[in-house]
Amino acid sequence: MLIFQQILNDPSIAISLVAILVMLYCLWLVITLKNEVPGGVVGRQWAIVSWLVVLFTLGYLTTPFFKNIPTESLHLIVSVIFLFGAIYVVVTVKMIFRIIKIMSE
Amino acid sequence: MDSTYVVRKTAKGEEELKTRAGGVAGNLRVILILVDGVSSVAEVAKKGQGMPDLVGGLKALAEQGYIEFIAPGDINYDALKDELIQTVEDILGKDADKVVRKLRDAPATKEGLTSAAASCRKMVQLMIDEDKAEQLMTRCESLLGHH
Repeated sequence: MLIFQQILNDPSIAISLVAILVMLYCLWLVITLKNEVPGGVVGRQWAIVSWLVVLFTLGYLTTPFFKNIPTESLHLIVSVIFLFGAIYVVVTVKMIFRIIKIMSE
Repeated sequence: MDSTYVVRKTAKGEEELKTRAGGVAGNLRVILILVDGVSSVAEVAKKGQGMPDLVGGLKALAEQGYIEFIAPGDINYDALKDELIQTVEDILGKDADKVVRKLRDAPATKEGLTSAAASCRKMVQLMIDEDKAEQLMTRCESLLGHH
């Protein structure tokens, strides 16, 4: 009951919980698919993507406690998540680029 | 000579290209190089367009045992498919399953197997190992070239 009360007072908690669930699903996907792609162009990038997803999951798990974290630490956590988010996007875009290149050869 | 017949090098022809032991004359050597084991007489003639008496050169090479002509119907593509599958299993080991499945599903024709081999190369390059992909393609091209 307490958690429902908290969600009503602050809907961002619900959004964070959904985000964590989505990220956990993503973590399950990358681990499961790793066996399907042992190496090659995608396999190599997949290992990096997997570690980034682990990192995001850990970062996302801190979101329900944002109110209890000092502002300076909070800024650091958010900026680290943003930085690795950017790296994630670069890795993914490069991987797609290589796949398109190989498939169109 | 039937222009639809496929021309392929014999073991003697392969050896000659590597060692020049038989001393095949320059123009015949060029024709021998043009023979890829997949192209028909007509296709080889097209590749060597402009060369004087290319068909005569093919006949001379055949008489000397460097090449042979095969009727299109005589090529056993099912056996070739099995050889390709064996090659994939040798190179990829435990990772061969998906690639083998692709080859098994390919039609047992020259075009079908050539296309499947190229597709397998991409698959290996993307999902298994880039070096093995090149190794696989070299071996597949060699096998396809010999049939």
